[in-house]
Amino acid sequence: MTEIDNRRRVSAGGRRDPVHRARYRPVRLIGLLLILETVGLVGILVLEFSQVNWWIQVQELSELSRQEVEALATVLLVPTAVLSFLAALSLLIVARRGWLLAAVSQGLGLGVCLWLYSETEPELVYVYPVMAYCIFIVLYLNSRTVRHLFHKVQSPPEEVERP
Amino acid sequence: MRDGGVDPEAAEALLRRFEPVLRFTRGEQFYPMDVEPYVQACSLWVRRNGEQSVCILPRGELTLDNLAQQPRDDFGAVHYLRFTDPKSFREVYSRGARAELRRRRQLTQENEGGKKVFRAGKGRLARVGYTSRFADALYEVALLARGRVPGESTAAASVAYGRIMDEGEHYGYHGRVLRHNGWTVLQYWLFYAFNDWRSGFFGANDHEADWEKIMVYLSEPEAGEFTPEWVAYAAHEYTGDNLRRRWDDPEVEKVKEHPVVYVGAGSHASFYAPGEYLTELDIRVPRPMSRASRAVRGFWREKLRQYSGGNTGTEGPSFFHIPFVDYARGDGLSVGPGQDREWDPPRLMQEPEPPWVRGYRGLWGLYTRDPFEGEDAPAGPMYLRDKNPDPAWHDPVGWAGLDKVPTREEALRISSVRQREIEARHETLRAEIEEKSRRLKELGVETAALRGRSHLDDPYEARARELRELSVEVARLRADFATGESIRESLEDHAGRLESGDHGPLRTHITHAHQPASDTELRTGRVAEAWAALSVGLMLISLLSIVVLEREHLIGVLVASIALFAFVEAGFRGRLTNLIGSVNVGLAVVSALILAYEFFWQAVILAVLFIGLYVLWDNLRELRR
Repeated sequence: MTEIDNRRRVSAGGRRDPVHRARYRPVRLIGLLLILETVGLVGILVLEFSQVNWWIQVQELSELSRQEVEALATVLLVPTAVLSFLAALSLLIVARRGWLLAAVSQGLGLGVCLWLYSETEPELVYVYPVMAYCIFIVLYLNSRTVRHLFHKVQSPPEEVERP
Repeated sequence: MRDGGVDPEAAEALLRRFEPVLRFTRGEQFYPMDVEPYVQACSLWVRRNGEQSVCILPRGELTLDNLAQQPRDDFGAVHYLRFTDPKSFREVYSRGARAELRRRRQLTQENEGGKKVFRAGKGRLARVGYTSRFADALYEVALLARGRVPGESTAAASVAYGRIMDEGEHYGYHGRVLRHNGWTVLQYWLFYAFNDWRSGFFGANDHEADWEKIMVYLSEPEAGEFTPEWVAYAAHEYTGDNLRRRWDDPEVEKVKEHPVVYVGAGSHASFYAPGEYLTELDIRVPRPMSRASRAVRGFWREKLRQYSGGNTGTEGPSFFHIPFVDYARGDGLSVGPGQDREWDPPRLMQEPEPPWVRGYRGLWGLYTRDPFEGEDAPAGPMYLRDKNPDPAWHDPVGWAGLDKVPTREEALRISSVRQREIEARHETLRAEIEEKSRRLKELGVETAALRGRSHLDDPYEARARELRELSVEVARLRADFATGESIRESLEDHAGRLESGDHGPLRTHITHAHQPASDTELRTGRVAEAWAALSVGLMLISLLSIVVLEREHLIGVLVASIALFAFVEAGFRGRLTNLIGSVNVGLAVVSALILAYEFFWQAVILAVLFIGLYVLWDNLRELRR
């Protein structure tokens, strides 16, 4: 049983002591960071969406121009934003499977940023802050404190039952 | 208690009292036997440097007595026995030999209660990752070039062993009892005519002759019964603490006073519990690479506080493991007191050692000249293949890491002696502390009296210096005293627990216990097994095809195909989370390098700015207090 599952059991019984609250602070923090990321990505998407002439893009797909790259970036960043949002909700509300969703969204985000960097260097300036933000979240998700919260750990059974 | 031997009668009685029960796996063809009929069925050969092998004594002329009477030979000469005769390999395919083999298999099946013969179960390759599978493929290819036991040997050995068993079905061991380093050690040396691990059970090697050993360690009170305290089962080339278990460890199964041993099919390695054991042959990376890798892991884990798959970073990295499975299921024949087959009286190897033990330093079966030695037969119980002494024979206590563990009586004696020594030292310390404390006070008074008198500057300085030094020394002596007192109390407490029969935790000495595969691991489906068997070959073929056919989009297609293989593999092995984590970390590292490249000076400026602001904030916070 993971510590997150323990937390749910404790929560179900209505017993949330300060120690548990402190221990699960990283989970809430990741949730908030992901919400912030979603807001940022949505902002970028809106900006890009307004700049792309979609009708021309559909007609001329033979060679990747700046406009086409921006169109593709818009398309590719949508799943990242959606996944980040779902991961944030999952972490803040249900606290299950949140890690995996968050990790997939960050991987996708980094992948898109690297592709954009290789195609447009250095025209799309927002690539760098998104990249830095994703690196920060990836390292935080991979930190021992967070991994131990989400993956199987040997916690004594009495810890679950403690009022 | 002095080191040395035990008289033969007492030795035999002790050996029989604790002789092990051996549980074999279905399909096992070779069982522990006495060396005499084996030697009589062998021929003796010598291979000198740069020469062809020469037969010294043909089959039928060799006995245990004349085995040891071989003249000394040149450096590099290797004496060895041949159990299977190359001339008989053709016969293996004859109708008569095939009928004989069928009869032997039937007999084995009957011995095992008519159960079906061995089935491998989940493949070894499904239990390890790609790198290990690549290493395994290389190992298999290397086997074609290395010296190895001929393919027909197993059948020929089975027929030859069958003939010996037809003359009289016997199951025997070779016993030795010695007093060593405070312990009475019972050594059970088990001899098998052939190790068919590779050809019979998908293992690492085949070789003629196989020596295995089980050891029981007894303590001997001044006037009392021998008490078994530890056992150690040999498995492959392992030595040290991980081999041994305490007699009262629940993992040590016993039938009355007889420890139960689960024997690996073909390899004859010994295990404490039934099951399938993954035995990995490690291929170590060069030392500089290993050091660099350890440093990076340490930085990643300790400084960045990142997760690294449960690896503590203290072990050296070994990227390639060649996996083999030891099937020690215990569902076959059982040999031992009250079992399917009983032991014959043991052949004793008490001091003075029999000539065949001490005098013959050659190999006990075919010498294949395998550079890894895996396919060469072993030497006798007293020697290693290179003719050097075998630690298991000469230092059985150290071999199982028991040299730092005294018997209960010895521990009590040592504890009592140490307590007395500490008490005596405390007497001295107490007097010294008293004396120096008195002097310290004198100096305190004197320095107080001299302070502020300018004409007494020099004596004041000298006393002040002495006061400082003495003060440090007295503090150190008091700390020594307190530590000694704690140690003495711990010794007293430990002795009390030993006297009450509490020997402490059972398994603190074990750092890496050899555990059988769990039910979950064994439950992987046929598709996963098929994938494990096909993946390496498929991956090589597809990568080659991409390089040849898809040059235009080489990098992209290569990355996509590797990602696909990795994804399928991780799915089968239940490691998708780890895969995603690793991919993310890889992407993050690449991205971080790009950011560092693009914004190096900006990053430096930001870092300096951050440090400046932090110092400012910290100092302001101090001011506000």
